[in-house]
Amino acid sequence: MDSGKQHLMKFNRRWQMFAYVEAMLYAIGFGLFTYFLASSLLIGSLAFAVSLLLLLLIKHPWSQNLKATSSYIDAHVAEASFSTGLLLQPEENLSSLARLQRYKVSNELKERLGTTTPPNKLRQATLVLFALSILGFAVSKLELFNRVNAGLDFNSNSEHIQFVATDSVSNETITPKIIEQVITVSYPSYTRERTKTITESNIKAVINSRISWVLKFDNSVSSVSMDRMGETIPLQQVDNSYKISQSLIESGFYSFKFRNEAGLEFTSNLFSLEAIPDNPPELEITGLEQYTYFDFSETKKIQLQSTITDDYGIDEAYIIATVSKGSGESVKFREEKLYFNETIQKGQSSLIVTKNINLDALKMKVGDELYFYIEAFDEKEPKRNVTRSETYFAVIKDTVTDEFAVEGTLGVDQMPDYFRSQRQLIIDTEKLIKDKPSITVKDFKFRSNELGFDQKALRLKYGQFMGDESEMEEAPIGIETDEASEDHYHTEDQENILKEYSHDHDGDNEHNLVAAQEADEAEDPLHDYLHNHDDPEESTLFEESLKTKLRKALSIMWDAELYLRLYEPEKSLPFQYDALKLIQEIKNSARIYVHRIGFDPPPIKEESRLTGSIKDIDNFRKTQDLDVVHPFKSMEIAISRLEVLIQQQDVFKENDKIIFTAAGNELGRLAIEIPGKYLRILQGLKNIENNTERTIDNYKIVQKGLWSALPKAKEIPGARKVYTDEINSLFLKQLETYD
Amino acid sequence: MIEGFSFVNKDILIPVFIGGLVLFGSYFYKEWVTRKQGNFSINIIVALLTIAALVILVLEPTREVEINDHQGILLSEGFNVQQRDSLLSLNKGLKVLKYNPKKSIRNQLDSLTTVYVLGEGIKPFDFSRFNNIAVEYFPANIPLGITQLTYTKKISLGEKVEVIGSYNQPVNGSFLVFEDSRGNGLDSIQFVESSFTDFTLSGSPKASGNYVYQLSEKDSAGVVINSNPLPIEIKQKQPLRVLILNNFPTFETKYLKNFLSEEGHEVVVRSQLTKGKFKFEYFNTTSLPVYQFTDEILKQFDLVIVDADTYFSFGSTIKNRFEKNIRENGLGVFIQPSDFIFNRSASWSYFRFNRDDIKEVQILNSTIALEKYPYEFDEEFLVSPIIVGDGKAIAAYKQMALGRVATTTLLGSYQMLLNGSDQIYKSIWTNILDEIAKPKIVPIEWKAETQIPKVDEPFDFSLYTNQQEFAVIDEDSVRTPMLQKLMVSTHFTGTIYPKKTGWQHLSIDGDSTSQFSFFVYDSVDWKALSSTQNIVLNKKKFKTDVNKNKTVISNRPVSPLLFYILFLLGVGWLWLSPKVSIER
Repeated sequence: MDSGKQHLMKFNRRWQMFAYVEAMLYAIGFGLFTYFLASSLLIGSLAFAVSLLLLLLIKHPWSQNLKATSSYIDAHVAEASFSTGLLLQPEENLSSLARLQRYKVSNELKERLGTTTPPNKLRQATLVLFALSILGFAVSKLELFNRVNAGLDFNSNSEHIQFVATDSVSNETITPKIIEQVITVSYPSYTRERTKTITESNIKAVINSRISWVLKFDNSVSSVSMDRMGETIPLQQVDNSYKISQSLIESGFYSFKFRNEAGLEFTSNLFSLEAIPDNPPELEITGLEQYTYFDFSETKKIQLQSTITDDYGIDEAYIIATVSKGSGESVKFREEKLYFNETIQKGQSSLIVTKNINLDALKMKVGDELYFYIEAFDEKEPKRNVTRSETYFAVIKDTVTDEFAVEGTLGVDQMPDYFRSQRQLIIDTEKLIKDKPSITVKDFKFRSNELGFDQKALRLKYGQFMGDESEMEEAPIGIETDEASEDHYHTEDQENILKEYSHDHDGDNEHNLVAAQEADEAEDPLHDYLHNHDDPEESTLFEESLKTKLRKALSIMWDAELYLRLYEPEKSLPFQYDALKLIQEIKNSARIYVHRIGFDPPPIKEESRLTGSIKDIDNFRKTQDLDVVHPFKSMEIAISRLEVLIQQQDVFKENDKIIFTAAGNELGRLAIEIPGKYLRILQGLKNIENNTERTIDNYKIVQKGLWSALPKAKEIPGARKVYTDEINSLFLKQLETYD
Repeated sequence: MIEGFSFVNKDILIPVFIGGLVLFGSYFYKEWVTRKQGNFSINIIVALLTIAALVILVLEPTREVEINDHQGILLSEGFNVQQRDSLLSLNKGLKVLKYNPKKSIRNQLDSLTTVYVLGEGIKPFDFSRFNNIAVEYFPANIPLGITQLTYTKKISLGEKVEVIGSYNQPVNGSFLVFEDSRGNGLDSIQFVESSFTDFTLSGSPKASGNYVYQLSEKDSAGVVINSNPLPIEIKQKQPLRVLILNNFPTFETKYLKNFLSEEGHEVVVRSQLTKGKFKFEYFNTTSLPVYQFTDEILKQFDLVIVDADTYFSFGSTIKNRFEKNIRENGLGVFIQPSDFIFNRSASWSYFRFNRDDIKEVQILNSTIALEKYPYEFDEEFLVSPIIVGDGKAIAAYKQMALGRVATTTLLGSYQMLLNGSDQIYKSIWTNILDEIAKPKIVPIEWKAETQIPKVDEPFDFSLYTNQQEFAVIDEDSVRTPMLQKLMVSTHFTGTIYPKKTGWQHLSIDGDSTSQFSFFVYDSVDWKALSSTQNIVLNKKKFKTDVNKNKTVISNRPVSPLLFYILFLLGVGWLWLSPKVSIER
């Protein structure tokens, strides 16, 4: 019907078709190029599809419309007479002239459009297609990119363990490769770390981690084993892969070994296994002096704040507080475990904890001391790490401490604590005098008598120090013994007028401090420490002047006691002051040192003593062979051998293998501390050993490493090597003649 | 021989002369047979002349020529351009020569009467060429770099290598690093001023063998500018056999004995328990009770450590036996001091002491004060210090013929061990015992005479031995001729021309123990040092006043052309004459 328009549409379709073909050609060209480059059909077709899509999007041939077609025909076909636009318009709307023209053009176009081709770049596209495919082919044939590819390949696979044959002859055989390698590190559960799959073969993990390797080879292999610090552990075969699981207890190295179908042995590089220790928790106590002193009147509270950190998690933390009461022999300790104000949630890695310690709540009295420290545990298994803080002290000051002792600055306090001091007696006596008007006579007399007894006890103690019984004998000791016996028997003797005043134990064994039956033995508490000083002549406790002083003090004490017993404390007081003064003097001059620990010589045979006979004495002979330990001997030999190899004065011999194996073992021992540092050298040694890298460069690297790893040579004396001939000897001999 | 005439090939004069006679004889016979043809006498004369010409052609005659005042200037490496120019302008007609040690300059020197040598000078092996020529030497400036160097080329393991030298105008801030064979630094200094600097570097090698240590110059960023090899031969020490004699056991001996025995030495300790009774301890050796000090017993030991009381209470017979062994066999004796030794007369106790009342001393490189007896060694001719502390000897030995006797003023050295400074303890005792222990006698001693041997340059070495029949061979078992010194029959010298760089070895044929290692340097190594050494040698060689020879007698070859023509004519006549006579 509207044949002109139909032709136009046909032309338009053709034009679109050309555009599609053009895009297709370009895309094929690019696809081929990538295919050659990547030598992978998949990548090629992918590139084709992508480029086709892109080109179509850019060109969008579907948007080619009739209007554009008609204007193109107008411009290029002279017969169209710029009237193709008429064809697009409905015939009815046109004037008759236009209709005529339309008809004419329609007829003209019928013939013309068959021969006219729409504008296209097909030739160019075909050229590009050929050019790209030739270029791609050339590149792939020339293997220009192989190196790049290899590099890329290497990078992508470097994490996979590489294997080399231990026998260099077998280069032609195929080396089975690892196609899949999974290294899994399972941290101990307490660390709360998730199990990690790592690609790096040099492993660093927390101690006690479990590491498993799964290796899959592209060819069938046999007897796959792991060499871990000289220990060979076979891998288990599960389906096509090999598995092994190891606990990381200490740092070290590992490598894999296997045999291929042909029975050739392959070995991998050496990799390090580094065990990172789980550090114990760290403790910090803030804002607290190590020593805190409180006066009795103060509020005795300690504000304790502490920061506890751990690398994985804290399990427990508490305060250990020790209260010490008393001093000297009678010191008592009480230990308490205090918990912090905050409850500690297990597994936290950082904590700030506080505690208010109230000394009163700990029932501390004046003079008591509190020692405390914080203990923190982490969750390490099987044994927790523990950290203790420094010990802090809190002391409630005792302002009235008055220690009575002879010791001065002595290490050993030999004075028993349980008798009253002279000073105390004076204080009590003064108090008694002061109280006299307000108390009953009986009470007064009772207290005076009591003080008299205390004075006696004190005198007796000093007497014991003298080791001087004779002094006692001079004194009227009868009273004492009588009293003692009477007291012990508790007889209702009327003659004992003191009885009702001497309350109960007016004897040595006051307050039953020493069990009655032991009283005799315990009379001298120093007995165990001192020589026998029963004989006053042998008494060496005090020097002469001191002795006289003490004796004087004792006789003064006698007087003091006498007046106390006579219920005249006023008269006793001056004597007591005199005694105190003397005792102070003695205290300042007396020094008793730590007793020597005795040496018991073997008994002397009296019959042979001093006879000078050495008949039975024989020569003594002792032979000993000491193995000189050269822990790094092989490393030394290896260095020297490497130098020869580097200088190319000799070639590698089979015997050298033994040297390098031994050197590797020695270095391994050194390297266990820091596996990473010596890994390269160990690997180099291993490569020399199994003949995979016997090159000068490798020798140099290994030798350099060995030099730096080897400890300093020991200084030992030795013989010089000297050449002497007649002339030298003559010269040396003549030297002396002219001296 | 005619005055003024000589031949180049003097050596073959007689054989050539005889050959000529034989030739003439046979020709004479031939002519005699055919004498009837005539011309006999003419032919004979012509033949005589022809053969004489031939003989002269072979012998290459020379003629003495007098050369008058012909001067030259020889430019060696590093010459000063200004010096050359002013010399050239002063002396017109100077012949300019370039010195190349690899090429012979014999012919060029031939015509000169006086030579001005500029620059680093002539290599010592070319000195002989200048024996007949007056030489005036203008040395080059001292080159930049290391110009002096001494270091321990041969050490025992455990000892220190000391490198001492001078550097001419270093770059300010650059480093000089003493490195082991693979470049691990051992010691270094940084130059703080760009002037002539002396340096001392040291390091302790850790393994035995032949190594090439390096002395590298690095800039302040650590980049190596220049590196020179320091070949070092490191040997293991030989263990000693030690006898320790004590009056009574002491701590000093106990620790010393432990130290020695733990290092593998054979130690025999005899300490007296009571009269005639002893305690014997044997370490690393079989038991051998030492009661008598016979020569046989003493010969077995390298070292005797004895306390002063024991040693000086020996009777004169025993003491003489000890002294005989010291003098003749090189036995080393260390006397452990006590007040006894300090109060003895020198004639009796080998050493003279002065009281100095100093009771503490510090030795080099340590901050620890060591206790000592309040005495000091008196300086004597044969007494050499071993250890010096605070500038005074605290241990010294006296040379007694082949052997040495030593003692110390240190008191209770074992205290060092107890204080934890066992390094110092070991160092002190190693030093002392090293000095005095009986040396192991080697039958051959080698000595390199050329300090920096290089490829294709002569390397001179000396050899000392009592042997008379031996052959020195190199690695390829090629013999090297040795020259025995006329006066000292045990001293031999030899020269070889190394073919490659690196360690080379010489040995005695059939004796693998006495190997001699020397290192052949690369041509670029130690440039400044070898130049400096060369300048010094040239200065020494040419320092004598130049005797300005105005004339020089030189043998010049006579042109052989005349003899050729004579020979040709003669041979031509002899060929022609039979034909002429036949026709006739």
